[in-house]
Amino acid sequence: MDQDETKAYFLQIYDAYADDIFRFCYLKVSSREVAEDISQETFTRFWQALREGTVMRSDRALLYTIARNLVIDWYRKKKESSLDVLTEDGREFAGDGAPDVMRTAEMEEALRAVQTLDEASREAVLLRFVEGLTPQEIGRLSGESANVISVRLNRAMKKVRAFMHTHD
Amino acid sequence: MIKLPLFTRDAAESIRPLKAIRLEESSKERMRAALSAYADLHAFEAVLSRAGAEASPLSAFFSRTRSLYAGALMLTLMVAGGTQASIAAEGSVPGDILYPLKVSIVEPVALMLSLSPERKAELSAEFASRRVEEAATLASSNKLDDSRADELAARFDTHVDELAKETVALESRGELGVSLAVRSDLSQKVSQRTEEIANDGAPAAMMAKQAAAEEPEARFSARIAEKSKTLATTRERLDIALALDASEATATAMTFSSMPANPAVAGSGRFFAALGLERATTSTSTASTTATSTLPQILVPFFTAPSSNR
Repeated sequence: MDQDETKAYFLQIYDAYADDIFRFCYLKVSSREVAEDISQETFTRFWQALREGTVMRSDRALLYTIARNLVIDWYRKKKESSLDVLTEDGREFAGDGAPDVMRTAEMEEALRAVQTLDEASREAVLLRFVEGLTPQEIGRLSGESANVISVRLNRAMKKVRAFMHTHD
Repeated sequence: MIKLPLFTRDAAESIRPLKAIRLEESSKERMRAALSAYADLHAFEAVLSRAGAEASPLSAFFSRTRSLYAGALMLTLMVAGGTQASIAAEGSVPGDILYPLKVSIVEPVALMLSLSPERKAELSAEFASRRVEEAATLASSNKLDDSRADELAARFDTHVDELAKETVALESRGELGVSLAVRSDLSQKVSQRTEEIANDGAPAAMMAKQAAAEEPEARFSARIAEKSKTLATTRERLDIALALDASEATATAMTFSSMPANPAVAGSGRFFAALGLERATTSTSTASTTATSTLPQILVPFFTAPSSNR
């Protein structure tokens, strides 16, 4: 591949995953600005990986891995709780296109539900049910077995269900 | 809200609205432009041509011959060549006739033949620690002069760079633990040896040596220490990534225990995990145990490789 082809491919990857990576970061850092910065840095590093010919199982997995590490770095620098701030301003996280009231309410509910979970479970649940990754893929990301992830997901979803019930 | 039945899928359904979180269109455009500019600035070809120039001595040799036949002939010779000389080459140090064979043929071939990033990282670590061993051997017989010290240090740098490249691949697959183990192990071994080289290279001249930093032993140790710092920095980053929460530390131990072929790694891995991944004072030679046993016994009896292809 030459520069033009690689760049075209790179931008294609960006178009396909920019929102996913942004969302992944945003739900972890709960600041649009920070999430944008981290997303951009993620793709910058992805380009570097392309240039260096890093062998990757999948582009998507690599993007999540990079983003995850960058979020960890960010937290190391700045310790803050993630989702608490976010729910207080429900409108903020909807992005453009002014989602309707019902949608915002649903989102707030979903956020509260995942907020009841511990960090590892929340990450697994979001990656599984929002991003659609398989337990294997999630496991690879965190260095755990698919089995461990599946068990964690089951327990977490039990909690989410219980939460949903008490809030109906 | 509609009452949800007790099924995971429906609970999952309740979380899915989060999918609506998206980048703002303006931000998306701005980032796209920035990344496009970044890609132009850090062009793809630049690395490709550099990669060509910095390729391993072996591939440099292959490309110089510019002939598939010559390459094939060489491979045949290598495979057909006896194991005697390659065993002899194994223990060679700079200055020996067989030394170029070791560093320009045997080791690159071993690296080339290993497929997984784990193995490549382990081999690179092994080769790097061999360079330090060789320096120690030379120093103990007072043969470590400036040019040899520099050559060994340069080779050490190359191996560490190679190691870094492979561990990036490992990390991209989420195998931070493996990457960490290889790095920790190498820096452990290296720091021990360089200290020895700096201190007891030649006991008689020790006093003078400590005063004069210009001695090749001291310079070599300093250079190795410098490069080893990159190992330490990366290791620190990995430590943090791994120590993020307890469950991940457990996962590290699991990663290691899933490598039955390498019990030493498993042991030190758990040890690191248990210690919050602090450096282990009882580190074992993980890389060497596996690397040496699989090193292909290949050589070309009548071929003297150029000692440096830079």
